[in-house]
Amino acid sequence: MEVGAEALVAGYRLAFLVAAGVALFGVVAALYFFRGAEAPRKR
Amino acid sequence: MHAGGDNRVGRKGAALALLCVAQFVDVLDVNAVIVALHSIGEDLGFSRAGLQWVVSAYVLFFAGFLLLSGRVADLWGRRRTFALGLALFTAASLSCGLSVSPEMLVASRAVQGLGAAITAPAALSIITTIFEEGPERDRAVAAWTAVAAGGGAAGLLLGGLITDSLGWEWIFFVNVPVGVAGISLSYVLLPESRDPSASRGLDLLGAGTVTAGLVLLVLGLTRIEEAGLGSPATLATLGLAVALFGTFVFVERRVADPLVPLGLFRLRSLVGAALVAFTLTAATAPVSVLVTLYLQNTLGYSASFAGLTGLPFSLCVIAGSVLGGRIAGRSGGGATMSLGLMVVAASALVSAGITAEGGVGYVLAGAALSGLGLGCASVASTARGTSAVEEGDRGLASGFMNTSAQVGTALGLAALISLASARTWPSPVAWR
Repeated sequence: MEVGAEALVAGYRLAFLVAAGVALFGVVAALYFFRGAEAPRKR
Repeated sequence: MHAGGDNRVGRKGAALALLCVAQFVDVLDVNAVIVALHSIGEDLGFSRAGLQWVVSAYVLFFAGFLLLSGRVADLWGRRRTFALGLALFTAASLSCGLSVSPEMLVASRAVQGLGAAITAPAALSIITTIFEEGPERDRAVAAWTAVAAGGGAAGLLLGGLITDSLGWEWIFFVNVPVGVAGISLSYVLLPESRDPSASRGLDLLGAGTVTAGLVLLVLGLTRIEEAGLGSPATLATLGLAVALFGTFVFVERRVADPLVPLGLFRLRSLVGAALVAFTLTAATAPVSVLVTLYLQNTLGYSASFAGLTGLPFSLCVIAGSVLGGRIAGRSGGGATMSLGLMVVAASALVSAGITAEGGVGYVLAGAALSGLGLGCASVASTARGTSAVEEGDRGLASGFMNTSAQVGTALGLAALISLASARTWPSPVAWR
């Protein structure tokens, strides 16, 4: 593999982008599970 | 039990100090190891994507046995359990420092995680036994929590300094005298206590199957990078992990005192908060690890410098927690979690601005944003998760949330470090 400047950091960047995606999935989960229900639920 | 009031207060203070020191050492090691990973990888010759096991082995065993050990402490005696956990942690720390191969270090880290899982809930139970409910107990728990946050920040700084000056082995060796002193003092300073109403049943099979399932899932994720998703080894590992999770659910439905009562999964707020805790650590922990590897591998900075760049993260976690509490009071927990996670997503995008020539500014800005978002969303998710259950089940809910966060760390590390090492040349985690 050619050792270009891009190749030195490409994996890091891709992992960071995926991490951003994971966090956005969390946003969707938070919006889904807590939509319109801010009062604490009791069992 | 003790004659004078001052003597009693002093004794309580000394007991709290001892428990805090044990917690400080536990947390310190988690972050110190992250800063030392580069040196550990170089010295022991870890394979591609194998280095994440140094962190994952610890968090998987911590997560797998956290809920079980809380019950063991109630049954067997909290002081005895605390001393046993500390002894395991201390012995494993010595073994970590003496490690001559990746396998020895990873196995020792697993035992270290088990020791920490036994120590932490026992210590918290002892605090609730020593300090009466109300402001006194609140202050003691606050001190214990603050020490944990301080341990995280100190771990980054001390981990870097110790690695550069003495070598990575010493981030483990320093635990040994602290642990030995802690075990001895626990018999002098801590009262023994049990919960006579605690259930006699211990769900060892549940803890064993879920931990083994998680270990195999992480192994399967790392094998995707090494052998491909379609390879028999990968499919067999992932299939076995699924089978173990199925067994875990079967066991939890059958035993009288399950580790995780399946009814918890019907509590919408608790499940949502646990999922948020999972995504928070799955998104932030791998970025923290990869950034320290980038600074040392690609830019050639020292471990001390890499540790120093983690400070904005630790400080911003504290700031984010304060902000998160205020925002949650006005806008509600769901909105606060969403906001915090959006800031975490933004932090990862900022970190992606790094180049091979430099990018410390991106690293620092990303770390600060990540800390703010994590602190903000964590405080809201913990509050919503624990308020989803009755008072008596708060400990279980808290343990469930903590376990979700640890599993998020392990799976996030396995997936993202494998991904990064497959796409980067030279690999961020390969020296051979």
